Amino acid sequence: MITVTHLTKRFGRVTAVDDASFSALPGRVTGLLGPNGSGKTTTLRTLVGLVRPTSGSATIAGRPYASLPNPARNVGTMLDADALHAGRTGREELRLAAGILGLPASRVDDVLEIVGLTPAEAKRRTRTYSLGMRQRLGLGLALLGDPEVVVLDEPANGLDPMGIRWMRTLLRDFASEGRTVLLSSHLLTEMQTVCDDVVVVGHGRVLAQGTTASFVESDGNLEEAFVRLTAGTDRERVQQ
Amino acid sequence: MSALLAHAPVPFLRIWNAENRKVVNTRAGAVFLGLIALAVVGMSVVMAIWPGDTGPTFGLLLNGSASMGLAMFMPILAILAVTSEFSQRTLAVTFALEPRRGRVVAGKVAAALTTTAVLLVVAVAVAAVVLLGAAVVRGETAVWDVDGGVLVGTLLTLVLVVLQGTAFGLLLRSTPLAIITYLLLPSVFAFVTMFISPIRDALPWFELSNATVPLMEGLALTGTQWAQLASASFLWIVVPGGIGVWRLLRGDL
Repeated sequence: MITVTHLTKRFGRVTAVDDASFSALPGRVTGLLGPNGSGKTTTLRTLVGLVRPTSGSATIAGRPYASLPNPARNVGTMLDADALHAGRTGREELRLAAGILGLPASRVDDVLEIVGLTPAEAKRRTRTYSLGMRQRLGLGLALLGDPEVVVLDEPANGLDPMGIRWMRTLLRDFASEGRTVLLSSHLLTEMQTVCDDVVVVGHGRVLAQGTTASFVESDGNLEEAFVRLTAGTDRERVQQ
Repeated sequence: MSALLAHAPVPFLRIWNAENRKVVNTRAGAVFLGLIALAVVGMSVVMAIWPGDTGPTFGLLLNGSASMGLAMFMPILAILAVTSEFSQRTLAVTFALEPRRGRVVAGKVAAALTTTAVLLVVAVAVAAVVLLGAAVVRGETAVWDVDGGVLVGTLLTLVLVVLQGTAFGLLLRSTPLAIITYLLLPSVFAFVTMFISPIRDALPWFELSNATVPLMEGLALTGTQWAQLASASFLWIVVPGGIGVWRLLRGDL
């Protein structure tokens, strides 16, 4: 469903993504795993048309995001939990998006319930929200259009243990309905629990990809596999 | 591979609607609109109480609230509509919902102009009510000295300054920078021309607030004045707006 092919993105002299190729399949949760600065965010932002690739492509069902009509109905995204207007209420943030997508206001109430924001919380302006509440609202924006595909950048960031558990269940249910989930994280144990497939990136390159089970089989767990695969990539960066 | 559902593209009306909503649905936006309304009422009342030699007329009151109220504050509202998307980091969400960025910019411009038109109607109504009140208090008959030309000229002036605000916001992307630049520009020109007198006469050619002065009096501009208006508009609306839009359409977020 999501296909990234020989994707390269340079910002001036910095290569953020370097000839990356991978895919995320329907019915599965795919995790993009890498240290800070490994190109995860740039890859996801390219996928939804916010960043232009230098070369290569990132497509959804074979098409660039920006060429899909009303794309957020098919592809839900959460790229930045802080991308909320501080002076707007949580509910209004969703109402605004629902208006653009052509959805009834009742969908806003449904989504608030799905992401676990109470009516009282939804009435508050987002400047008063904790990071966990922002993540929930951001996820609500992603789920608003009842999409077939979701793309989430660090969705577990700022969630408490109950929140992480809730997020895991939500994403698993979503995938079990045959939908596609692509998320990024560096929370290794969490990724091992939630992901079917893992793409390990470092320095913008895809270092390895396969099923979570295959990494657990070869290295004991995802953390050991990650340490082995990304060994040296941090040190290299310091030397540069 | 499960197929995507076929959806109709987002019609412009929905984008325009959303951008209209954004003007009023933040605390800052609501407060600012309230202040503009206050300025409109305040200026009409001030003009009614101290009308000068002519006595209070509809044109005097409307000119006060439109030029001192709307023409001063509407461009700042237009700046905020653009720059808050950058400062609040909401642009990524906006463009994820509608990746055709040009349509989002068009929606923003349309919303700013809609707000302007609505507030001008409010200013006309306020001026009329205040004038009638003043006439009763003074025991005179109200003087209705405004023709369609003045109204259209006032609207055109407001449209130009609102477009200038939008253009500055698009070019500079920062709220304080855009507002300060917008407010200081006429003073800078005035200061410079104080020392270099030969360009003083040429000022309306490249200074928009100067070039719009005759427009507030109606549409009876000379050919030269229209040309000056076009030249100043090009310099302070088309050029900064063009560069800003070009950068936004091509750039990474």
